[in-house]
Amino acid sequence: MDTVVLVDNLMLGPFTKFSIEVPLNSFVIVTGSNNSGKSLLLKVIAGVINTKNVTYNKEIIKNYEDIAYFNDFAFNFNNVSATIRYPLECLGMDDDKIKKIVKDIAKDLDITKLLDSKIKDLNYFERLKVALASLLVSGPKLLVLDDPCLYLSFYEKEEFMRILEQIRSSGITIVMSCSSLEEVGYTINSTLYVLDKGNIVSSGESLKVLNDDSLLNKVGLELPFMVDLSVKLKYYNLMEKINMSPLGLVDSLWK
Amino acid sequence: MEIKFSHVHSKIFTDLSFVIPKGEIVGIYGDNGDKLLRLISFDDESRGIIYFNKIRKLRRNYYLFRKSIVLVERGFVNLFNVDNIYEYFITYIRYKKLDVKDVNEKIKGALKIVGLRLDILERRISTLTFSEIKLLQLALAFLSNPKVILLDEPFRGLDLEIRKKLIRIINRLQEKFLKTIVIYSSNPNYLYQYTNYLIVLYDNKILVEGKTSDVFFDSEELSLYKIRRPDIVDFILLVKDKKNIKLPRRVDVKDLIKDIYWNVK
Repeated sequence: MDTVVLVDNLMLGPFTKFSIEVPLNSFVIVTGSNNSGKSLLLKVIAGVINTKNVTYNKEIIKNYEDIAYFNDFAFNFNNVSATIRYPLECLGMDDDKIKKIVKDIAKDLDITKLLDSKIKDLNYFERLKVALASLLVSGPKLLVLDDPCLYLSFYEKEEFMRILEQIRSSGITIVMSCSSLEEVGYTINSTLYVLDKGNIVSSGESLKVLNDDSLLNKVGLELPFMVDLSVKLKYYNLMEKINMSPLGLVDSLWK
Repeated sequence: MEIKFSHVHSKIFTDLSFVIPKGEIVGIYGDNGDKLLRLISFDDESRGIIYFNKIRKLRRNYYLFRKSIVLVERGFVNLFNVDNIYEYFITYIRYKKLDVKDVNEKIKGALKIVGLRLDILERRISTLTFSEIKLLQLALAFLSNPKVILLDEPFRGLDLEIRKKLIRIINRLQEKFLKTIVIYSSNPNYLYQYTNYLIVLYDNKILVEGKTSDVFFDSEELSLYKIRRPDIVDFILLVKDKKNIKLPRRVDVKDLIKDIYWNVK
């Protein structure tokens, strides 16, 4: 499989001889305790830190416009549609084309109704979607998101992960960090990396990585309740695999 | 300090009546709970009858209470465009008009409570990690020696170890220094684990208030309005509902597993 980004032999902050590879069209999630280097790694991957240890696949990432990086909100405009339009105006597109792109992206992210709103009237989740829309309009190939789910509720996390899955299926590679493992449970076919003090302590298909509760607890991460319960029931030989449905689990326990 | 609100109105809320009991860790749950924190902290304007320890808040004694309440925001807002941390502390003390005799001792004390090392004072805010910023926010809040501490989503983004540390700090403040602590969180799991008294908001009204565990287990209003319960409570209630088996109220998954083991075996 093609690689989009390769970080090789990184020596920076907590990282010593650190390497990571992001395959094309993958959904990579980076997690870990506080101060494990998640945000720094994402900055390196997004190319906002000047280092020679990161290489991009030139065929996919032709220039920095192909990388979209999110770590916090900073809206330069009060109005939602002005915020989303701005990158396209910078690219010198004509108004009709801009309107069409903005309309399409707003539909995908379910923010059509918000286009005429003021940013200050939006809640956190709506702002996040507006910020995401303004990143996506210019058609990036790599989307790097630093803990976007931090202040989202359970339902919002679920919806947001569905949106990201949709974005991935349109051919965009996603690298995301998270400080809790709840959102990981909502993804399909994602790769999870667990960092601890600048080292990868576990990696692989997300649900498989979640199986190792003692390792995750050791680095200071809490498993989502249903995963935690299933994994612990496995120790007592009461369960064979992770069951995400509470009702299914109850039925299988008390037959 | 007990705070009693009766028939309080603000831009968002109409006719709210509730009590923040003394010596408890109080949780606020539900939409616009963060706005309720802002109302309690006086950052948002309100009208109505408010009592602090049975003293009624009036226009002429208002300042007495303003100083005893501090709100720790969910995200850090740099108020002064100052990046050096020592400088930030000094600017903050002057801005808040805090009566401090020995500034350095005071800062040292505040950092010690939250477990930050002194050399952080040499650093810049922009180089701090997420958890360090959270602890810095708390240290700043403690400078004014407040009686009531309001925390907006304090646990978000913190790993288990730092969350435990934060809980230790909160419990000590409440038990040893008798501070009133109010926590808003949109995550019912945290509220269930860490608070003793709970106020639930729905549609900008108080839906139910009472002991946290009673509210989550017994309140029918939560089911009626489809308000999410803590996962572990949901599971225990599901077992009772579907299999008619009454498991004891638990907070820790490990205890629940033992209950299940004895029951299924």
